[in-house]
Amino acid sequence: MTPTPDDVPRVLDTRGDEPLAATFVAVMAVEALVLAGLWLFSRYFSG
Amino acid sequence: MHPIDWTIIGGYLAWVLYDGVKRSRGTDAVEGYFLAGRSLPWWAVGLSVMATQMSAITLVGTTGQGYADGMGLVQMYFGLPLAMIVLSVTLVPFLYRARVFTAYEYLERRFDRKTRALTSLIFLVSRGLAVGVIISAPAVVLSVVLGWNLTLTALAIGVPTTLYTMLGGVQAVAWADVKQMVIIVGGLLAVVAALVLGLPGGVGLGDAMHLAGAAERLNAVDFSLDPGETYTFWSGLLGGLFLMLGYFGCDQSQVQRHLTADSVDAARRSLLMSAYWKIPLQALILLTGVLVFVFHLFNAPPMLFDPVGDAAVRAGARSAEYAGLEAEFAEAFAARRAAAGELIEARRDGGAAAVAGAREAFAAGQARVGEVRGRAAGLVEEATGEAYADVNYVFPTFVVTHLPVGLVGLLIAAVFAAAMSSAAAELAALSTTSVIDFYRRYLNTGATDRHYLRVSKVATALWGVVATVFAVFAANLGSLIEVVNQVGSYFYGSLLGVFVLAVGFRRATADGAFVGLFAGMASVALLESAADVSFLWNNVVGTAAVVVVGLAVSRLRPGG
Repeated sequence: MTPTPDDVPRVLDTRGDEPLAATFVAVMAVEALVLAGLWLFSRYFSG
Repeated sequence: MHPIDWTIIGGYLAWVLYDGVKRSRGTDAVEGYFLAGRSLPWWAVGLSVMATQMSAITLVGTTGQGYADGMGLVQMYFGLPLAMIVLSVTLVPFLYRARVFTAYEYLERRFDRKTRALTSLIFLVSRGLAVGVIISAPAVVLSVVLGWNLTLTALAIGVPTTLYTMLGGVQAVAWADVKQMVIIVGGLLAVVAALVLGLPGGVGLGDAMHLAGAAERLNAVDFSLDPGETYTFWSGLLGGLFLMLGYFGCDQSQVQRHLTADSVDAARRSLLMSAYWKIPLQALILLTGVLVFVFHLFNAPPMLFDPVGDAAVRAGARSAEYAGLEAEFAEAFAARRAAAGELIEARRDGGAAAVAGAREAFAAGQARVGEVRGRAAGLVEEATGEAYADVNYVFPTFVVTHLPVGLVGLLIAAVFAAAMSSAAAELAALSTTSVIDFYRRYLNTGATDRHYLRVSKVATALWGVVATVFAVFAANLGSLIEVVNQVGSYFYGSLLGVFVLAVGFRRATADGAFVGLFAGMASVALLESAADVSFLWNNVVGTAAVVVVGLAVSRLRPGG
């Protein structure tokens, strides 16, 4: 028998967690920079 | 090989074994053995996560891919940073707090035992076969390139890995991963330095990159919308996102890594290390292959890199034709080298028209070399009756032929390290799943911790023996290796779908998840047989099918 919804823990239970929102933004910013860098690198040397 | 290189390789193997045995002291309980007592710092777990993902065939195959096709493969990882963020917000803290040993253990709490049994069985089958390939593939390449005995090479990888995993448990695996990662990255950086310093006089790094670009080896970002193109920006971003969510969130060999962290926050931070570093690291590996390509613009490469294929044609009826091709190849190489020199000159001194003309001549030279190589590969296929591919032989051949004494040993140790770190993580995960999800759950439910620890060590040893024996015999089963490598892409999306149902939809039921899992795998099989699409899309389709069918069944049978 599947547990009832009330038995199921919430997935986004962040109580007590270290806030990482700034780190997540930094990760995405670094990825954007890396992808842009790869694209420019490839365009510059392939052109 | 020089005695100094042998000493480096022998020293590496002895050191890994010694360190693993030393760490067996902290593993006197099942939690210590399988989860390192949840005591590891985030940076060690992060390096272990990265080392687990980087198998030897990733190392030698990816450099070969960079040599043959350029940097397009890097796009497969474009979805990884976002996947790590999603996991560190959702599944990682969730599984960590559930105090489980395996990801599948949680599925019984959430759904029922048949869902747990099926998902853990899928893991055991798919990764049980894969761990043999993880050992076999580099053993085949090293034995061919270095002339080593294949069985001994497979044993040299499989036996120490099994021993330190069995004795030291996950703690030994994780700390060995840290050291192995340092060897791999250090070795790669040393090769890049050797390649840059080894450029011919008058050829700078910028010239080398322009030559690579003219040969289409630097196309790292392709915005094509064609679903049949394997690696594009879009397939990497979306398909890669689902692949990485499935691999890091549902594959026990990775889940077990972040469960060893000393806190939830450490587990989350360990994944974010890959989010920052994985794409640059893959780009470095591919760039190494590209630099090997540039090196061979000025230094003659072998016509074919796999010496076994080469020997098969020489021994056959068309050996004279093959010798003729070698002469053609030498001419084509000389013409391409001259064209490369002219392109460099034109870029320095000529106008736009001269550069365009020189580029065209270089591209024609490159095409000619490829065409002769293609005909030679055709002769090998005729002689052996098998498809010919030699990308895995490019990097090891370069290492043993052109690197100085000392670096050869370091790089071969790095290939060993990559194979052993991935194989050890798989052995630990297979043992954990066998003991926790089957033995302790069904066969012997009330034994002592000491008993389970003993059984766990035996299970690790047995999986190690199976993997090593499979590796020795798999060398002669080329097509089977390909099948095993494809198996993961059938399952990851579907497993991810079950976890999405479990943690994302509170009204999803056990029957919904169970039926959905089959629907997901069937959808991927259908997609594979009916359409020519990149394997990266399999994971998106599998996940979507599980969620849609799972929710439909849950709605039809709300109590199931």
